[in-house]
Amino acid sequence: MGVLDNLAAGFDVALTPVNLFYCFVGVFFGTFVGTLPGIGAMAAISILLPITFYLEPTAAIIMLAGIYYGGVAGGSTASILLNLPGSPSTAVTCLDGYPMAQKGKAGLALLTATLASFIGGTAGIVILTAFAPALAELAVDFGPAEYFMLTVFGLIATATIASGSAVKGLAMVVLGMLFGTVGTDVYTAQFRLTYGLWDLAEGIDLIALSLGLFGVSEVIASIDRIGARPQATQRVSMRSMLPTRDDLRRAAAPVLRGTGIGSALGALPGTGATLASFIAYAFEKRLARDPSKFGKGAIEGVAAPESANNSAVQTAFIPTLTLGIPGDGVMALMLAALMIHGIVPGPAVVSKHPDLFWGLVASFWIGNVMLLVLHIPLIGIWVRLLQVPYHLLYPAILVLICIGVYSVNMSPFGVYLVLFFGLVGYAMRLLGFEPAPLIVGFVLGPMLENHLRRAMLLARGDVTFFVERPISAGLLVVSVAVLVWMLGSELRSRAAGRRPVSAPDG
Amino acid sequence: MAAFDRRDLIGGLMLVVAGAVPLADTVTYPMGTLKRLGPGFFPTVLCVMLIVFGIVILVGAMTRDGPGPAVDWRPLGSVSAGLLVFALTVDSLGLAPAVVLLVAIATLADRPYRPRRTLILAAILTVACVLVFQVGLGMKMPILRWPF
Repeated sequence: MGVLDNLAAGFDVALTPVNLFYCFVGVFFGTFVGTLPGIGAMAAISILLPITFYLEPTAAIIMLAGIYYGGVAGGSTASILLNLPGSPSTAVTCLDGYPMAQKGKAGLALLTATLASFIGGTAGIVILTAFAPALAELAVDFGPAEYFMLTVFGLIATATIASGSAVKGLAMVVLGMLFGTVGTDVYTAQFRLTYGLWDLAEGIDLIALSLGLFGVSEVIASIDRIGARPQATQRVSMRSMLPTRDDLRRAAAPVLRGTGIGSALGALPGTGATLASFIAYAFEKRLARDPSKFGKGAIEGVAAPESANNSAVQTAFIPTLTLGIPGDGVMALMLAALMIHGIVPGPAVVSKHPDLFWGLVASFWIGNVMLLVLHIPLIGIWVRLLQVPYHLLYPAILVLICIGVYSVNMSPFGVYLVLFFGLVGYAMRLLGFEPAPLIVGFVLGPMLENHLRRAMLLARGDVTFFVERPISAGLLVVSVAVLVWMLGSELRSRAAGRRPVSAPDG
Repeated sequence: MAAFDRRDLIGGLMLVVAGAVPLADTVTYPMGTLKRLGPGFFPTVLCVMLIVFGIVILVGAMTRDGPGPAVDWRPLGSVSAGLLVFALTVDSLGLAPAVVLLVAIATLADRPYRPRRTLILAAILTVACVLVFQVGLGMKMPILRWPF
């Protein structure tokens, strides 16, 4: 079967009323939380994760994915109207989106963001459709040694490239893996790090971990910061959105370049939507004949990052679905959701679960069209949503978190865990450690240990096993190169007396 | 007395502790052989790595000056207390009182604290939760219990 046949079969799956409904729920809820500052896609996905236990795996993953790309697309609204990023990947959009709004061009900025997101997202899906099955075929022959090295590479890339400090990123990956070892060892039934708590025998609950790290700590950090912010007062009409011919001409090339940058970076492990948006913006600014207009309401400064982050969001599914290596925290949650439903992530997903893979891809097309509808005729809803004060919002978020985690096992233990990880996450936030590498380490850690133990068994204890196999050796070389390069550039920037650039969290 | 980057000083110290405390346990698990790695091997390696990263960050922090972290004590205290009270009361008193207590305590972070608004919000959220989770999703959660 050709790609188009597969895609057609995928649309058959995605267009069933049930899947269409959950696609809409995901995209709508994603836009909802993406628009609101102080609650991100991570927290939203964690809150809805327990509900997906009751769903078919395809519907579950379609909904969770919708939250993710809906959240990234929705984040631009708050960036443009409030100068406050709704999600981290739209932080750059503030730089020119907010000045545009101040000049009375809020409608145009919102339309630019929506159209750029749509084009970027669509291009990302095309690339996903074209490359994912090929990559999956390549990885079919991988054994434990290859998977071990691939996982190591994914972890190193996540830890060093995306975070501000390579050492801190690596420390968080290791800490995440350590949390991942808690519970009963599958090989020997040995209890590890349970400290006599029976509730930990099955390991730390992923939902409690991510709700604490991303939900509770975000609420604590946002109450004083967002509580006193100005409310959105602009009214955005359809008429104010209409672009002039000149606007379209200026935005076209940045959208295409942003899409290219985003698609490439999204597919690599460790470089997600946030980094893609930053790089696309910097690239446009360097390319511009008059860089001084950036930061003062240049339409290019909205078009480039918005197309980059949305194409990156789509291509991020390539390594996650075909290799089982998530590029960031959201993809790690996505992977965990697949495993909860008994689907082993890896190259076999495309061949063994074609309805899931192609159904998901088809749902991306549908979801992106839904986003257009949600953002152009219905933009007024989201503008009004920004008028809801945070002090009414965060108690509701906390209630949802508590009930969500309580409902998993009907036990208050999960709530204690959420509290623990909320405190850990808040401390990390204060001390400049990023939570995304931790969650990637937590999800990949047990797989890494499993690959390692199986590989050592196969190799009869011979460590050179990893070097003798060509793909494994190649991945080892690349991993070491990335590690040396990133640590080296950190040392150099320290020596030059400036702090490494880190993406602001939202 | 040299200047320190206080934020990284604390961060490095916490990493060393986060590695050292579990290390005391993981070294007691069987390490296994290279062919058959035991349950203690992997976590022990992780703990040692954490301690090393902590020391690297500590050493870096001693070479430069920097401010300490600015803690939002009020939100930190009220949100933590709210979650703790929810966990303590949800089984004994039931869902509704636990939600009311959570909202009442967590919103202590607001300045100024408006008790009437908090009560209304708590009532709305409780009703919404019962409707969504009990009626809508059919979860079996006790709404109200009388423990005495």
